[in-house]
Amino acid sequence: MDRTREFLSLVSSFQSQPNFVRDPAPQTPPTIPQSFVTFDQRSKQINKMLQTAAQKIGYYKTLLSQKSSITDSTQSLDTISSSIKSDISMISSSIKSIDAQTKNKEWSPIMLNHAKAVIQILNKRLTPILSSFQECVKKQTTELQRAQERTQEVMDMSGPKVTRRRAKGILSDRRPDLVPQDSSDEPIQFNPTYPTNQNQPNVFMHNSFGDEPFQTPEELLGASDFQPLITERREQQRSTTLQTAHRTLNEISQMFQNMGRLLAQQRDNLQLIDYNLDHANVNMDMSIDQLEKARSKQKNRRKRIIQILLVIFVVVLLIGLLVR
Amino acid sequence: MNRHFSIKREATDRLIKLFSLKNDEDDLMPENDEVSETPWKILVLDTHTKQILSPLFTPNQLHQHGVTLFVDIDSLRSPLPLTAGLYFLTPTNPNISFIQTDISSHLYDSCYLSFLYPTQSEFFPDLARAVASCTPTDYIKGVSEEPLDFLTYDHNFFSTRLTDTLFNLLRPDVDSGAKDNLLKQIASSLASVLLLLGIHPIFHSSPTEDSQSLTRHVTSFLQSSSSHRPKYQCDVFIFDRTTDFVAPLLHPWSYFGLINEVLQFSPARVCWTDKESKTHVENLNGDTDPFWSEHFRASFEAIGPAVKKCWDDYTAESESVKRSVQQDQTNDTAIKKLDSLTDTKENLDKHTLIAAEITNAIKTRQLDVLSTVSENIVRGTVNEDEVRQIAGLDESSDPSHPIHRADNADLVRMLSLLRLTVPMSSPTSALVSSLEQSLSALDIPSFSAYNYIKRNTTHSAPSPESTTSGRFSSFISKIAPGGQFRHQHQRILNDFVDNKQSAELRAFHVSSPPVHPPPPPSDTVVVFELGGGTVAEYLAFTAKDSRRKVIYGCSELLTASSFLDQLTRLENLKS
Repeated sequence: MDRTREFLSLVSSFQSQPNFVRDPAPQTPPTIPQSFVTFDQRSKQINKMLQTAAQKIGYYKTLLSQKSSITDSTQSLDTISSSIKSDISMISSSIKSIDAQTKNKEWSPIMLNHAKAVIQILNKRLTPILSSFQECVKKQTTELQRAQERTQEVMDMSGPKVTRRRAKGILSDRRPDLVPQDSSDEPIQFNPTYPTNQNQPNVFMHNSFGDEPFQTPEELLGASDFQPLITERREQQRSTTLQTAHRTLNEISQMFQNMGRLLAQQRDNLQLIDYNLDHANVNMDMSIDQLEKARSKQKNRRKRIIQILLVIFVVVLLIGLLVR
Repeated sequence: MNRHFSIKREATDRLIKLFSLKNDEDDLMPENDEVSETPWKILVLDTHTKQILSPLFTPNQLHQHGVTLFVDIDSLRSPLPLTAGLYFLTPTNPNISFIQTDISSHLYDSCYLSFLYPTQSEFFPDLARAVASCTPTDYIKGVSEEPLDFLTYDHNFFSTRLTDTLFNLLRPDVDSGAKDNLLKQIASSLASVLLLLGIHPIFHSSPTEDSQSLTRHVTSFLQSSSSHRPKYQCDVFIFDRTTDFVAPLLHPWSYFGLINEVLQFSPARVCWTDKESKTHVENLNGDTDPFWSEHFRASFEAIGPAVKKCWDDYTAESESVKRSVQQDQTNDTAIKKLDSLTDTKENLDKHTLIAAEITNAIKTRQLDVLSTVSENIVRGTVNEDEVRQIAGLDESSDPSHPIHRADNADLVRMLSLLRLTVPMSSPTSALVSSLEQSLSALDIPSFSAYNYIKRNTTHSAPSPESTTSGRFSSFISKIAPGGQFRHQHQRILNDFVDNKQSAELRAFHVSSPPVHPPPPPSDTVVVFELGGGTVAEYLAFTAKDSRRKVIYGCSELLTASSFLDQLTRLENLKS
């Protein structure tokens, strides 16, 4: 139940009373170390970057599910993937750089604990982003590899010979429900002029793959794609993308390994709020005890020094007297 | 209309909304960017709110919501600039002065205050006066009141955060004002749950004075709450512990029951000290511990084989992961599996430790024999020889099945159970008398509890004027020998579900706060035990074969020892 409005109006009504007494000696706000201000700003920036990266991955996922690696250009996917990759490496290095700041001696213990927790949170938020990015890149890689294989087969062929596997590949992209179960790689010969007469039996045109008749291969692939089936340029682009993807995957694995070490260190042994708090209190009590002990030790030492000095003084005095 | 209510889910969602630092107005303006400007917050708690929060969130989960640190309000705190301070507190005057000091000393960047419902009418004006006297008044960005004043044991199990409720309700020297305050506190927890789940209650309250005044208090809380928008109409049964003293005396044999009996159980955790005086604290959360959620109802003898089976599964899976990692260094799926395997292993280690500790207790206290004996007693099929042997009245025990004498406290418990269930005319009453004689000769502290039960148990019908005397008599006539045992309160609920107009059910007082228009009815029933609930009842009410979904609440979760202790203190007060 939100009561903010009601409460604030109560506060202002009290303040507007003529004889209302305000705090006579307002305390000055504590001075904030500049390094902590920078840490705070950067941690917030990183948090925003994480949000953006998560959004981009969402977009990358949709794009991946919509685009076909055979017929569509991989350019937009490449752009977004490389942008996410640079974001992630930027985030990762930023986290490392602000982590280095947490060894600042100017900061109070609470600031240090807070900063450590912030870094822990940022790392934890990065982990799912990293793993979903990894999944996306893997998916893209497998698709590209498949596309490359198919292209290779198409390139090897001369004329309108189409292998069953290629036909299957095309179908699995367009009509997954029509993919045949056998995996023989025999070339299927069919009339390059494509019969218009539906009554003629034709292995590609008719019911060997499904019940309903479907489009001609030209229609299936799109005229522009079928004529120069897959251009050399696109093939080059694909292989570069594939190389980049492999590199990216390696980098992600590396990042994961680094993060894994970090997260393992941060794993809670016991996940209970009040137990941890009580524990902290006990620790605090213990440290206070130790401080007390140290203080009393210090006092005792001082006492002893005074005693020794006194003895020396008396001895000196006695010697002085004796010498006289 | 049927809906699966979950107290845990609703409470967690409420708190997540709190952590997002959004108030109702921000919901209307999603473009408000201020929220994302303050992603980090420090959570300030007091003893009570810490107890409430603990079963709902782990420190890791708090991190997920941007809570970097959580601190006690009464601890020495140094300033943490540029961070929002989120206060989740009980509405008390000391907390007002803590907040005032924090604001004056600029402890945090901004301040979001949240208090447990219900706040007293003068609380917010007092807080506002204190805040108004401080210099930076724009410091407070949000104030709210949350109906979360209860301890969450599970999705369908809650209790108030009070202790000794039975003692405080029954003590003869309590003045009516103090008792009324206690009932109000209990009512605020029940009202909080109803508010949180959006339930419009139809109360069926036990024919005792306390249950009826509890109902009145809950009704007045709900009526005074402006934000109560009920979505469903549910039957709410208020049972009084004094009408069934049998349930807390039974020796349990379920895994959950034994954990509550032998170890120290509190919401989402269990603690114990082992033989080497080492203290163990373990999480017991059904959402993160599949073994617990699957087996907490099981009989204890099933736990050993279940742990063994899980171990075998774990070993097989870990072997296969090992093999696949050796074959392929970059096998990501195998590496991912390792994480879940580590969790499984931790879980199994934990349950092995718990089960081992319980097994020790079973051996030393002969809980296996005691649970069988107590089950036979409530079923009306008392095996006198067995009772004599365990009570040490009969030394000539069968050497093939040696039964040693049980602990005195356990024997007092058994004697109390016999006193409550065996009619005076029964031939077993001679056994009860001899057991009573032998135990009274010893100096057993909990024997006073038995005296209390004996003094208040009459075998005649209770007179309408009687407050305590004769309260527990109703149980005796209800035992069907050899039949399946049902708890007293469970039987009443079953009669209600079956539309049986039993005399006990007819004695219940039905009331409901007015509402227009009435919300759609739900199949779920809320059961509340005033004076303390038990694990055995919770398991019985929420059993998988029960026809209605039940949300079980109680003023406190009793163990047999806490129950007997409260009765002992009551008896000692009298003398």
